[in-house]
Amino acid sequence: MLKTIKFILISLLFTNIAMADKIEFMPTSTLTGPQGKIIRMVTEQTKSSSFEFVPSAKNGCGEAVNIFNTTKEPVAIIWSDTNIRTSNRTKQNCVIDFKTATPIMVAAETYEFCTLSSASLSTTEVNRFGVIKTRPTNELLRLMNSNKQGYKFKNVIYTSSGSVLQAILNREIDLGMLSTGAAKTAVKAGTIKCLYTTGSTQFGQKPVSTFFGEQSPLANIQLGMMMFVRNFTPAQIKKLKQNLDSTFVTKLEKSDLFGVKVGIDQKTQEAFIKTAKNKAKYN
Amino acid sequence: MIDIVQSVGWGLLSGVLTGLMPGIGIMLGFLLFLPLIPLDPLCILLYGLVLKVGSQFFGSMAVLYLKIPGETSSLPVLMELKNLKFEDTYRAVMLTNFGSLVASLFATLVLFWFLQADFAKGIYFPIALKSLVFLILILIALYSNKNVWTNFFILLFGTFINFYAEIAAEVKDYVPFLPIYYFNTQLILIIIFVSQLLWINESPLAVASLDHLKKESIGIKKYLGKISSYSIIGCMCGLIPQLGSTISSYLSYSLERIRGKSALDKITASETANNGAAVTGWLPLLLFGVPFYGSEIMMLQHFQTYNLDLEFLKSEGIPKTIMLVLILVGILYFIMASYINQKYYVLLGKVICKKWFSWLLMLVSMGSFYAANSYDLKYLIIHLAVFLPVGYYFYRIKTDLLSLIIGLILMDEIVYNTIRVIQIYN
Repeated sequence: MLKTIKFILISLLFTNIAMADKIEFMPTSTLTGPQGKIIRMVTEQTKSSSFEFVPSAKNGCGEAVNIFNTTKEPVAIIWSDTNIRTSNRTKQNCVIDFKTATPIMVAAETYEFCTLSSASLSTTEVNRFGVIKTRPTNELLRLMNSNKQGYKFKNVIYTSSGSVLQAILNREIDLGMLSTGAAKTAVKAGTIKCLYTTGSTQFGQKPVSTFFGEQSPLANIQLGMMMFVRNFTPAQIKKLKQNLDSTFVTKLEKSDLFGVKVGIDQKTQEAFIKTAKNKAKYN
Repeated sequence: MIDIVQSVGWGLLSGVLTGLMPGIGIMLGFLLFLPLIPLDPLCILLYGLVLKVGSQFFGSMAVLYLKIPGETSSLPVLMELKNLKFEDTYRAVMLTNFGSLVASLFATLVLFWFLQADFAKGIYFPIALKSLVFLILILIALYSNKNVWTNFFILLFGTFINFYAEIAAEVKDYVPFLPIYYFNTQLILIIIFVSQLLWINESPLAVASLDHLKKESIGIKKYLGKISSYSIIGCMCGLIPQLGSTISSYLSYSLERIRGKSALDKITASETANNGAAVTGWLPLLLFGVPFYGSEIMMLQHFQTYNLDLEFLKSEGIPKTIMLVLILVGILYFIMASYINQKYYVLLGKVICKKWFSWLLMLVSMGSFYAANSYDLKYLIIHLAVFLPVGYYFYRIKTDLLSLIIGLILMDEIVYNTIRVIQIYN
């Protein structure tokens, strides 16, 4: 009896939730940002089927990718097109093995360039441009200053879209770059207006490429995220794709994610990786 | 709706515990059930607001019934208790409750007015002023007691962990020492704060029966003017960073003392004012996103962790919801504090001092964090191994943990804010 209790206790100690016949689903960043949003929605969508995804955040993209590349169990990951840049910046390997991974779906977060509703940009003074630190801030500033309307900008760095929004409201910055989801409520409330966008047109914004004075891949900067799985049988992959049906796509789009597509062909995957490689060129 | 009810319920429980139990300050109270609150900004805000109002209501009860100050703003009452006639104890209980209710409702209306008013949307908080508030918070943390150097080193310790966590999360190969894992600030705070309860050794307190005093007239009419004026003073004091409730309590107590008033007057004034401050203290955060109090710093960090912001306050109906919840909660607290038999306090007084109760709280807060975050057990054990001894050390040196909060949570924002000030004004 004592032995059985000991065995149960030891088993409990060394067992975590992911080992109980469940599929670990990892972000390459955190579970709280847009990657977490996709993970939660996929988990929710597939709950009633035979899949049981368990969201599990790791210590950075290096650890998540290492687990994904080496595990023998079925596993899922969200890999974003900033991960090659992160690999270069942090010396971790944040690039999954694309040969053994199967892409399932893709989605993107777009960005808005917004000001206070009552404010406008100045042509006589240098405008303060608020941007999140994980974006290619130097290259973005260079592009912003290449505009032909005569506006000049300087960077003010923030940690999140929420803090950029707060900075616009506090008049700390004249123009801020923030995610569409973060801008949405304030635009609806009439406190800010978005002038340019990298994708969404729901507020009547113009593409930011029309503002930049030169062509640049960053004109369409979005956070692209692709879901990959490993060690899934073809039948499991087919079933998973069936589960992520049109209602799922609509749900994601309503959550301010764009370009949602389930079922990724070779061409789409290669284009996605190419974008990631391009992004790694800028700082 | 269910989410709101759930959050308010946890806020009520946490408010009662924070007010009644000397070891649980508002910051710890906030952390206790935070992992159980739905990840909705309104729910988290309501939880914080309800908890803070409750801590002031039940802080008065703890000091009057159990003679222990549940929170620092109740200390003037403790000082005055020796002058309070025993026959006046029941009146003191009822008057402080009534004063707390009036002040809470008044402050709620002030809060609602500011959140709704059009002119308030045009007010903003310059970044330089934000830096000044941060500086004041650091100074308050350093000089919160006589151990300035200890506070300074705790601030440095928190700052180190704060930046270590940020570096370790992104650049793990570069981290020069300590095992390579990811520190979670919320988990660290839960371990250090909640573990403070494990070391406390306080015995249950005897409570004298007040039943025979219930027939005494309370004389609320006579005190209406006083309660109204100290509600206003409390609301204004709420805008003092970190110390609003405590200062309002001491100020009101001192004003009555200068006027040579009775112990009952002093107690009523002091316990009325702190409730007003507890509510209006949220205004700078809700209007400008600038936290004035430790619990607000924690809430803001929780918001940042989960990519939440305060923009929801501009949505239609939200200020009204907040107002209605606060009014309802004020009335609920009033009923609980006034009409529930004192046996309840006796029982609670006995239970909250038991070791198993502290362990239970620790288990609930850590267990809910573990479950809510799908946390890795390995990391949980490492955090416990490192920070449980640290928590014990902090308990032994009897330090104020505000320095830790500022270092651990706010210091990165302070540093980035300073950089931004340079970027903007350069």
